[in-house]
Amino acid sequence: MTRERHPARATGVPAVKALITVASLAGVLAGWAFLSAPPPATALSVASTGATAQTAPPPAWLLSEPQIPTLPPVATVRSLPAAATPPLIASNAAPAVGQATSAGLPGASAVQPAPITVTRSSR
Amino acid sequence: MLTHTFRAMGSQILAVIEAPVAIAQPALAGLREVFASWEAILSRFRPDSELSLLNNSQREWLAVSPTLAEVIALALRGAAMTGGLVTPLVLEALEHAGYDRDFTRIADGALPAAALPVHPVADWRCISVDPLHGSVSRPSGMRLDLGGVAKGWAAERAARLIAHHGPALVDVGGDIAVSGPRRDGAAWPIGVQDPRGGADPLAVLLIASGGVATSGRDYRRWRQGHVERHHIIDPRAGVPAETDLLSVTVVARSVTDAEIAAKAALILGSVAGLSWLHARPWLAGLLVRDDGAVLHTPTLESFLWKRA
Repeated sequence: MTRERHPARATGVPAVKALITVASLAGVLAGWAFLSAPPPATALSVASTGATAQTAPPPAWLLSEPQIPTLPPVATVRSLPAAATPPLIASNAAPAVGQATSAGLPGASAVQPAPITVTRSSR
Repeated sequence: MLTHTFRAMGSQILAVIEAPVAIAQPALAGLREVFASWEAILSRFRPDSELSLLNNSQREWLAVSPTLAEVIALALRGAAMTGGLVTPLVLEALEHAGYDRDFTRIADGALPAAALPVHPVADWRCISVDPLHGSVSRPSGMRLDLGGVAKGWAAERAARLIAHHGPALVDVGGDIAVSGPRRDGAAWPIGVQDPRGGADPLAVLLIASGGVATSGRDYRRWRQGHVERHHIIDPRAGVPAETDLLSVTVVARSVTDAEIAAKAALILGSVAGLSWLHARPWLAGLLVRDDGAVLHTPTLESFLWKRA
């Protein structure tokens, strides 16, 4: 099979090939450069050998001592915070106990139930 | 309904159970022995009780029975609840005030006059208890008194014991625990004794759960020389509380809480005591002042019997 040759194609192809080749070589060279560059840490440690380490200061939130609660021993009763002292208020005079109130309230009945027993200071 | 009364722990005991007689009778009869076993552990008046042995020991750490550990833990809880107002460390103060023997053996007026040392009792926070392993730790020689919680604890335990057989109520010297509502679903009617000497109850409370307790200086009081003393020690001064309250009755979700709270309020007096109770809506209090005034927290309303 006979193929005709065009003069323009004959001129452009080598240029394209050259362009691709150059681009590929550039990519390879860039990759070599990236992989060859030393990591920052390594550079620091190398630089600090035999000298004081130059590290960045810790963040402010780490500077204060962390509050680690003391774990109580298992099953030991520990003291609890004391209840806050309540403010003094005027005493409330109680309504007379046993007086008539609105009907229908729980615990309301016409006849006072006979107590089963009586609460009193220790007898 | 069957009832059983006897004396134990220096108090009159009443146990009530709503169950068939054949079941209730043995349940109630067994309680006397149960209380005797508790007294053998918790009484400060018996030299051979476990508490007395602990108090006489110079060791700082001791192994104790589960019962003693439990009641000491309850006493410490009471101290924590009240900021130290109700503390197990009032024994020395009680003895100085003349309460160094069973109350029935105190001959009123026969005790010689004595000036009481005024200083705070020891800090309860130096005691620790491990109920799981049954041990108590406290400074060597520190002595405990469990009178502030023992009766309520016993009432609660006893009610729980017999409640297997039916609705139950146990009254230990006025500290009363109920196992729940009565068989018909109604609450137990419980009178509040008038500390001013009236024959009728001051009020009738309807209690369906938890318990009620009263602390007062109207009964356990005596004279040391010509000075009147009573058994509620103010730990801030180490002497019987100087309070304007004759008695305080508290209803709470447990009779042990009620017992502790009643003592705290009595020590604080009518103004601070009412305020202290008011700040704790899970407690309902009725306070009787020595001028005859009767005060109560709003929360008591839901327990008061009222005429329809």
